[in-house]
This record gives sequence, structure tokens and C-alpha cells, in this order.
Amino acid sequence: MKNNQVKQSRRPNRPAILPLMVPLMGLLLLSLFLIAPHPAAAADEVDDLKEQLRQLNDQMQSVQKKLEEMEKKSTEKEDDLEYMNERLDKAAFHAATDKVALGVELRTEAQSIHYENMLAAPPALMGGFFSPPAAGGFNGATRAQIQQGMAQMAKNNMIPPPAEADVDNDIIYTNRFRLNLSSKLNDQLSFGGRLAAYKVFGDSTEVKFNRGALGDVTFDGNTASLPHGDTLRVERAFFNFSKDLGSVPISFSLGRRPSTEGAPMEYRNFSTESGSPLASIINWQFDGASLNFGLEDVTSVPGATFKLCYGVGFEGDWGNSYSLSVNQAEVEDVHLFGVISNLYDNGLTNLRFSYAHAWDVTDGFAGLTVMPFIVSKADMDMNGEPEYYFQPNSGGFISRMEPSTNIGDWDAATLLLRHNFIEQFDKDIDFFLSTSWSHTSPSQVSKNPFYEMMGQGLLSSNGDLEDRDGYSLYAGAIFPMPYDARFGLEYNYGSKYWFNFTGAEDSLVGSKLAVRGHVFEGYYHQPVFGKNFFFTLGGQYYDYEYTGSGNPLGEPVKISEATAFDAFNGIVDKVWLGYLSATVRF
Amino acid sequence: MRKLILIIVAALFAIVSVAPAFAFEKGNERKGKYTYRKVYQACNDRGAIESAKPAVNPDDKTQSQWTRIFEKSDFSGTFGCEEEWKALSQDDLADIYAYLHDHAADSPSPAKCK
Repeated sequence: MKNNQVKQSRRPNRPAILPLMVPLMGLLLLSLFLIAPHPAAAADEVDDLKEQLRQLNDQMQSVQKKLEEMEKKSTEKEDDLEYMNERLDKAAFHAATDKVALGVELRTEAQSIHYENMLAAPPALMGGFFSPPAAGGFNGATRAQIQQGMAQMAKNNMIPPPAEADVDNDIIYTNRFRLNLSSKLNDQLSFGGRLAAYKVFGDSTEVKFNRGALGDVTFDGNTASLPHGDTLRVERAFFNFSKDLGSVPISFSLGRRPSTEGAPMEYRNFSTESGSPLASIINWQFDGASLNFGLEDVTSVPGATFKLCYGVGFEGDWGNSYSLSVNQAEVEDVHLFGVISNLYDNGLTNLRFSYAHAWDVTDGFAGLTVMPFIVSKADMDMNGEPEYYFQPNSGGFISRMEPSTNIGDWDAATLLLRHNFIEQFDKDIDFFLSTSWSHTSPSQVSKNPFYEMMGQGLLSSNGDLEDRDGYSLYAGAIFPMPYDARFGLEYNYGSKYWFNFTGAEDSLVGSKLAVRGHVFEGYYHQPVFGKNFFFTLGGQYYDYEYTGSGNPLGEPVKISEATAFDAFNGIVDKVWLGYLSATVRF
Repeated sequence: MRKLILIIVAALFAIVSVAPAFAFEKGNERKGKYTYRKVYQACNDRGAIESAKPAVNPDDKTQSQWTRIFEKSDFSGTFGCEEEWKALSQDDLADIYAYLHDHAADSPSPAKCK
């Protein structure tokens, strides 16, 4: 009712012309009668006046008709306006209450993976670990006895060669679902996040059987980045607070970091740059903080920035057997510090540098896996020297793994150059080159019974704790193709002692950027609706040169010279794979 | 198997060498970022603005808002630096539009701290 009243009051008043017509016409006729000079002439004038009156009447009716039409249109517009107001109210209500914007990414992928010359310790040798020393085995032997036995076998050329096998997985399908969250409270405060579920078709167990690869353990650094079932996990969640200090814009961020798929992975992912750390040294989920300084105005260098990063890779006093315990030696937390700096970025050319340091790297990560056998250490004969016991995990029980020791420090630095050649060749050709260095400083041999019996520490074996330097090279070129497609070629190489933290790199084989050896890759992205819906066809070829890629423990050994003792965890020599995927992203 | 890989790689190289000739011309977002920065650099050089860093970021608006601005050619109202915007060619504008549109607030970009 109230609305109707408002509506009526808004309507324009009808002009009061008709009520005036009658007296006006009377007055006109009277004046004609009084001033008429001659009857005949007066009759003509009366006719003229009648005609004029008729015309005037027609015009008035026409005006009246137009006024009615205008009134009708005005009412319609008013109704439209009311309808739009109602809709705008709803939109404003949603804008105020829907505090987070959602983005969806779904990728379905098929891969065909082929392993060549996989090496493993032969069953006869592995059987020796489950036999007592009296029967020539190691089960129940001391470390000295085990090491003497292994040395004796080496001296007598009794170490068997590793068993070789080619393994094919002709087809494996995965679904990767990501829910991107973003919110901008005001110009200074924003929130970002990503929930993700990544699974292999037909599997949601979340825990893998351990064959010695880093990705076989489900742990904090890779939960959402590698296939671990249909559980939606928090891959990243952070806030960003920005403020200008003079001419230096500063932003501070806390939370679970956007620390995966950093530059230059955006080319092979057909996406915008997705993470902060450079992917050649760090591609790892972790919690931490960052403080970024925009230096463009103070340095006059286009795009210059300087960012400080901090993260925690392991918390010793939470959930471990030694947590808050006075009876066991504590394993220190793993802290990571880094800097990321844009040295130059004009939109077409970008030069970026990053350095990272990790204190007290551990000999493993807190996570879940199914171990093939369990190694334990105990002084069962009470002679003061512990023995090592090996027990097959015939029940397939899930183990909560935990680090045993802080084994040393790690440093890495990388320099990335990216350039687009559109100015030079008038073609949208991208090129990137990244060179990296890593340095490991082992502090002690691992106390994990399995590694301890072989004297393994940070990139070291037999108790030989030496500092090591590793190097890597990563290069690629991406070309424009018909129908907006992109074709990319990539190559990367890692030296013998190359070690990085890229365990969250999306790969069913293992991080290609952690490889001590060569990796070649080619891919073709074919958009259907821009970057909202596209297909990717690609292939990779891994040619490992040294053992233990991506693993901090043990001295890397040339694969062509590896013995069965180097192959307890299994060694991958060469892998080639093809993949085809469809991605929806909006 | 090596033969197969060599054949695949050779085929891919052949495609690469031929295909750019057929590549479609459209707004290039990488060049757009470059040109967009150049606009502000030139504007700063003549003293019209205090900073050469673009004051308006792609994620300050939605994709449809960018589309509306470029359809109406309402550049000086949004960006300032009218003189520089008037000097841009249609190709330059297409590149800048591609950059701003592809990195808009509602673009399919993952959350990342700046």
C-alpha cells in the first residue's frame, strides 16, 4: 500500500486544460457576437473561427493522447526502476555478505608412464636382513657387524648387481580440483587461499606404499600438491596487509604460503605466475610469513622489489615420540629463510634472484606411509651395544614417520631470466633460463636406524660428512601456434650434489627439477575458451645420472655404477611419459 | 623407444618452425604490460605524475569493467595521462586491454601474495 502511494505521488499531474475549454469557448463566441460588423461577413468569420476551434480541438486531443502515452511510458520506466532497485539491493546484499570470491580449477589428466632399467636390491640380499647373524644375515647384528659384513662382501666381490626391470603403467588417470579463494576487504587488506583435492582415479587411500621416493610419504609439504585422495586440503591461506611508507609500498603476509608452482612453471601450466618462491629451488607447501618492499620509485628500476620470506618445515615439539619428552634427544625445528628480488621487470624482460637457507634440515618428514619393512634399534642382549632388527611389514600397516635427527644446513640461490621476443620478432615467443646453486653442510649422521647402519647423513655416506655444492640449469622456449595455442620445449639438468626442495612439484614420477641428470619436456596447450578451458598434450623424458634425486640422505652414486647396496630404496634410471589433460579454470 | 622419442621431438620441432607463420594476431598481454608501463613512464617523464609505477593495477577492476572502459575508450578518466593514452595505436590498446583483462580481479588467477 505504501509503495502504491509513493508510486501515485510520483506520477506527473494531468494538465488542467479541458476544464478551461468550455468558458474559453463561450467567451470567444460572445466576443464574436458583440463585435460582428456585418451579418454575412460575420457568418464567414464565425465559420473560420469554428474551423480554428475544430483544429484547436484536434490538436488538444492529440496532445492529450501523447500525454497519456508519456504517462504510460513513465509508469513503465518507474516499474523498471523499481525492479532494478530490488535487484541492486540483492546484489549489494551479496557483495556485503559473500565475503570471499571463489574460483574453480578442474583438471582431468591421462598419463602413460614407462620406467626403463629400474634397479632394486635382489630378493636374496634383502632376505639376509631378516636372517640372524648366525645364519649369515644382519637381523640382530650390531652396526659394526653390519658394516663389517658389507665391507667384507665388497672386498670379496660378493655384492650382487641390482635386479633390473622395465615397468609400464600404460594408462593412469587423475583428477585435480582446486577451489581458489580471494577477498579484498579494502585497498590495504586482502585474503587469499586455495583448497585442493588431487586424486588418482580409483584411489582415495591417501597413503602410499613406500618405494623410497619422497612423494611416497604424505606429509605437510605435499598433501594437496600430489595425488592423495578426495579429501579437500588447505594448500594455501594467507592475508596480505599493504601500506605505503613514503614512496615504498610495503606488504606483510602471514599464513600458509603461496609457495608452490612459482616462476617459471607458469609456461608449462598455461597459467599466470602462481607462487612466490622460484620453482627451481623451492616448490613446497609450508606455513610462514613474508615482507615485501616495492623499490621501483626509490631505485627507478622498473619492477624492482625485495621480499623477505620465512617458513617452518618441521615442528619438533608437536606430535612426535620425542615431543615434550625429557627422555629422548629433541629434534630441532626446521626454519627456512629466504629473499626473493625482482632485479628488473619491464613487462617483457624479467630478471629475478632468490636465495634460501634452511637450518637443521631433518632426515625425513613427519608423515604417513606404508613401509616395506620396519628397522628398529635396541640393546636386547643388554651388552651396552644396540643391535638392529628388521621386520617385514607383512600386514601393510601404516606408519607415522618422523625425523630422527637434524643432519645439517642447506643453502640455495637461483637467478631467473625471462624474456618475450615480441618486440624483436613480432611473435609472442617466450624464453627463460634459470641457473641455480645448492650447498649442503652436513652436521651428523642420521640416527634413523636404517640410515645410521649405512652411516648416511646430508648427501653423505659412511660417516663422511663433507660440504657439497650442486648446480642446476633450467631453460625453455614457448612458441605461438595456430588457434592461440602455445608450444613449449623445456630442458633441465642437475649435477651430482644438486639438492632442492621441490617435493610439491606436480608429477607422478618425481620432481623433474630435483633430478640429478637430464629431463626433456615438450607440451602443446590448445585453448578452447582462452585460459578458461584448454587441452594440453605433452611428454617428458627423465634420464637420471645419479641416485637419490630429491632425497637429502646418502652420497649420490652414479647409476651405472650402483650396486645392490645402493638400491635398497629402488633406483629409477630412465622414465618417459606422455600426458593429455583437459582443464577448466574460471 | 629412443627412435620413438626422436621422431616425436623431430615432429614437434617441425611444427614449431612452421606454425608461427600461421599464428593469429591478437592483443598480447605480455606486450600490453610493457606498453602500459611505458605509458606511465612517459607521463612521469613529462612531470604529469609523481611515480612511473602504474597507479591502477589490473586487479583493481573486474574483467567486465575493463571491457566497458575499453569499449567506451574512457582512458583518461580511469588512468589519467590523457596525452599518452591519445598517442597509443589500436594495437597498443589491444595489448593493454589483453593485459588488464587477463589479470583482472575475477580472472582465473590463483591466490598469490604480492
